[in-house]
Amino acid sequence: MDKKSISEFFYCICVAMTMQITVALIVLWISPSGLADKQSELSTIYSFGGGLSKETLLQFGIVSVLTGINRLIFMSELIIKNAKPSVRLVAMFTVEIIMICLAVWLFGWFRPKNLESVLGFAVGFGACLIVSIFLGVKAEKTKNQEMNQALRRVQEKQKH
Amino acid sequence: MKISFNIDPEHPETEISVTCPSVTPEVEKIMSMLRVLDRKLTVKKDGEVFLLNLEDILYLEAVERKCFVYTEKAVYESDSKMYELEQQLAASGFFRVSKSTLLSLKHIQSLRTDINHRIRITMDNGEKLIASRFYADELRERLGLK
Repeated sequence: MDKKSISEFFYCICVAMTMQITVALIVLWISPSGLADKQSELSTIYSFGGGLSKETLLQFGIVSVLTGINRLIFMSELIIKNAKPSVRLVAMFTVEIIMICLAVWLFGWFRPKNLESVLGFAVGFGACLIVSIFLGVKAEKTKNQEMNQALRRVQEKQKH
Repeated sequence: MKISFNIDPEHPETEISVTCPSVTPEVEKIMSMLRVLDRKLTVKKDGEVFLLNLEDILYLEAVERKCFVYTEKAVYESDSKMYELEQQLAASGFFRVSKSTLLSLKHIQSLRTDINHRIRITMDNGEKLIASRFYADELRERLGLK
């Protein structure tokens, strides 16, 4: 792996970590305070006194690293050599959603039977996903636009 | 090989003449290089020899030690090697986008980022080519984006 891929890997981990903290905050914000008290017996996410606990941050860290690895597997050619970008994207998001659901179940982040928690998680995760896709698409469009403008400039220069 | 150089202010234009006992591969190479200077490339198709204008060439591709030249209407074959063509055509706006492909910058219709830092190139005739990671960086540099 070269320097560029390594820095991208760490960037992905940071984005995933930020997303998870945001989702946790949204879940907390949506959950009624009484419920949050009950949930704190279940997961350290809800024992917010001095911010997120080390245990929660470690759990988020593990999921973030796995997200980075997931991205590396599907969006580079280290393992999968030939696949369409759209297929890669769908596969990556499918694995990501399965992984997050497993993490919710394994780390007991909230009670899956509780509607508010599920809703909070869905809204938080969905919002972060939409924002990240929107930002990703926008960044790619800007890059493509810059490249094509530069191409036209060079083509014009060549004409003269 | 004897090379003579004659400066004559009364001569209306630059003239190059090659005198040889027979057409050897070396002579063919010299002719090919001179034609590139004249913005032409010697190619073959179905046994016939053609002189293509460099402006008409979209891209060149090496397949199994053969070099194919693509224009909007036809595909020709060149006897030159890819590295030779790369050197000869560099000044005419051709550059490498992968180990086996050389293309004309002026015939690129659009560029699009692809996974793994590659660039997807759409040519004027709608054909899609890929600039590999290494050459994509060189292309960005050429476009003044790096």
